[in-house]
Amino acid sequence: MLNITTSSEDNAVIIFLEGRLDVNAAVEADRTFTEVLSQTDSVVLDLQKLEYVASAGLRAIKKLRFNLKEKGGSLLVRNATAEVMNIFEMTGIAAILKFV
Amino acid sequence: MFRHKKKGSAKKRKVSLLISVGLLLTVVFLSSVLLNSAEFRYLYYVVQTGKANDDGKRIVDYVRDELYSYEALPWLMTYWKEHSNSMDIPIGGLKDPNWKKSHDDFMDAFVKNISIDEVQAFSEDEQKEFAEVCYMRCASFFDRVKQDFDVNNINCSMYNGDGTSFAFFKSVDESSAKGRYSLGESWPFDIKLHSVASKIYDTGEDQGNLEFVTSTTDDQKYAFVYSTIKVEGQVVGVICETIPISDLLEQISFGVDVLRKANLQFFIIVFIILLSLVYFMLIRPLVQIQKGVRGYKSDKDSGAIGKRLKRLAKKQNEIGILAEDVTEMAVEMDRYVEEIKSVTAEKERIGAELDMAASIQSGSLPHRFPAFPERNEFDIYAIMDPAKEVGGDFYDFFLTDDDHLALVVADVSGKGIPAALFMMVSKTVIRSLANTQKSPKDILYAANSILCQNNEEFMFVTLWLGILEISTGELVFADAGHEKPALYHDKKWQLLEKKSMGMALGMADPQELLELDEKYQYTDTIIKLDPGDMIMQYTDGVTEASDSDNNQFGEEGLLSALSVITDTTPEKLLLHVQEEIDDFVKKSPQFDDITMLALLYK
Repeated sequence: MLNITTSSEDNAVIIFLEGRLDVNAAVEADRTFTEVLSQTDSVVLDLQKLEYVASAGLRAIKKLRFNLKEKGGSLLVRNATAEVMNIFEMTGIAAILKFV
Repeated sequence: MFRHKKKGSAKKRKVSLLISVGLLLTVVFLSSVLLNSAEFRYLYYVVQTGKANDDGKRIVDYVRDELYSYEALPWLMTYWKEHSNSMDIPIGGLKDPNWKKSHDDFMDAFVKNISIDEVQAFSEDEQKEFAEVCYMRCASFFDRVKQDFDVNNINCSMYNGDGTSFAFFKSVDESSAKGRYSLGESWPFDIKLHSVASKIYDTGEDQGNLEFVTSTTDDQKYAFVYSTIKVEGQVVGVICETIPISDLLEQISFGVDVLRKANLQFFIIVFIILLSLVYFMLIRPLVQIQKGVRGYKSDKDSGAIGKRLKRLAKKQNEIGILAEDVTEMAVEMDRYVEEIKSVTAEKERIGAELDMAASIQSGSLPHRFPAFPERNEFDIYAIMDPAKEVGGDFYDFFLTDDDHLALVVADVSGKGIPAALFMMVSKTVIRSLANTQKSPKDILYAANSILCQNNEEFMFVTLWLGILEISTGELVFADAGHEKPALYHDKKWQLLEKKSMGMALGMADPQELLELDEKYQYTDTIIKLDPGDMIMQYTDGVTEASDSDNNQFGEEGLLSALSVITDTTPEKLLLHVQEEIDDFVKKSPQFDDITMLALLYK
C-alpha cells in the first residue's frame, strides 16, 4: 500500500511517499509524478515514511528525474530511511539523485 | 445469475398468487361482513327500541285516555284505593259468568258520563255498585288491550313507598300463573331499579324514554313504557307496559341475519369479479412474460421473446411496461453477451500470447541440464521462477571460448512484458559483448552505453557478470548494482562484500557515469576457486521473499539455507534453497521473480 500526498512550498511541489512503493504502486506514483511535472519545475521527494522501494519504483523516480532535467528543473530527495537509502545505493540511483 | 427452477414449482407459485389474493379478499370480506353486522345490529337496536318506545307509548296513552274518559275517575281512583278489600269483584275476569252478568245488567252507556257530583249523591250501596261496575269495565279493557295489542304486561298501579306497588289493574301474560292481578294486590317494586318510574313519581311529569330493568322474578330483561294519571296535578296512578327484551332481540337478530345473507351474496359476487380481474389482468400476462423469459433462457433469442410479448407490450399499463422492459433487457443482454464474447476472445488471445512470450523467454535461457555434459571441470545449475507469466529476471551462462565460462544473473526494473522485452535486449547485449571482451567491467561499461541509448521507458537492470577461467579457477566478476554473490570456500558459505556499488545498467548516461564517484564505477573483482568451491548468485526475489507478516527471507535466511548442504551438486543446492524459501513464505503470493544460479568448480 502506498499513500501519496503533495503540498506546495515556495515554488516547489513536495511529494510525500508513504508505505511501500512496489510494482503496483509504481504505476500510481508514475501518474502522480507526471501530474506534478505539468505544474512545476522543482520537485522535492519526501521519503520519511517510505518503507520499501522496488525497482519499478526506482524506474518511476528515474523517469521523474530525467523529465525534470529536460525541463531544466530540479529534483531533491529528503528524509530517506536507511533501508530505502540502501536500495538507492545498491542500484546506483543514489548517485544521480540530489539529497538534502 | 439465473436460478434454475423446475416447471412444476413455477406453476405452483403462479397458483399460489391467486390463492393469496383469494385469501386476502376473503379476510377483508369476512371482517367487513362481521363489522357490517355489528354496525347494523346497533343501528337496528336503536331503531327497534325507538319503535318499541313509540308503540308502547301509544298503547299506554290509549289506556290512559280510556281511563280519563270516565268523568268520575278521580272519585273512582280514590274509592278503588280505599275500598280495595270490600269491593265485590269476581276474580275470573271476563269469562266469569258473574262478571258478565253484572256487566250486562248495568247501563254502561251512562257510566262514563256520571259526574263526581252525581256519584256523591248516590247511596252508599249505589256508590259501591258504581265503583264495582266501572272497575270491571276498566279491568276488561286492560284485558282486551293486552290481547289485542299482544302485549306482555299492561298495568295501572301506584307505588306504595315501601318497596311494593298497589295494583289498580294489571293484566299479565296468560302463560304466567294468573291472567290478572286483583285490585289492591301488591307486588315487589324496587323503585331504585326503575329510574324512569322514580322520576315520574318525583316530578309528576311523563317521561318519554324506555326503561330497561332486569326482572327480579324471572331474571329477564324488560323494557318499561309509562304514562300517568293525574288528579289536580298529583300522580294517582301510573300506567305501564312491559316488553321483554328477548322479543326485541329476536327481531334484531332476524334483521341482522337478512342483512348478513345479502352482504355475503354481494361479497361472493365481488370476490369472483375481483379474482377474475386479478387473473386476467395480472396473472395471465405475468405467466406469458414468465414463459417468454423462460424461453429466452433456453434459446437466448431476443427476437423470439420480442415476438412473444409484442401484444402485451402494447398495453398502456404496468404489465405493458414490464413486457417492454423484459424485451429490451433481452436485447440488451444479447448485446452484452456479444461484447463479453469479444472481450473474452481478446483476453484469450492476450493470454495465449503471454503464454507464448513466457515460453519464448524461458526457452531463451539455457535450460537443459547438465548444460555442458562434455565438460567435467565444472557443474552448473540455474532456476528462474517468474512472479508473472513473464518476468524481468534472467540468468545466462555460456562459453566465450574453450577456457572461459561467462555467468550472468540480472534483474530488470519492473515486471511483465516491458521488463521481459528489456531483459531480452540486455541478455543479447551482454552475450555479444562478452564474446569480444574479456573484462567484466569493460563489458558492463559498454552494455550501459548501449542500454542507455533510446531508453524511452527509463528501464534499467541490475546485473552480475562473472567470467571463469576454467583451467585456473580464476573468477573475475563485476557488478552493476546487483546482490552480493555467495561463495563456498574452505567448507563454508559467505557473501562476498562489494568493492564498489556499481551503477545499474541503463541508470546513468556513460558520460554522466564517468563523472560520478568511484563507488559507482564498475570494478573487476578476482577470486580463485579451488576444486570443490561453489559460487552462487541470485536476485532480490530471494532475499526479499516475504511471509504473511512481511518478514523477509534476507541474506541471513539465504546463508543458513546454503549452509545446511555442503559438498553437493548445484542442482540439489538450488532446489534446497527454493524449498526453504517456499517454507518461509508459506501461502503468501510470490511478489518478485526468483532467480538463482550456482556453479561448482571441480
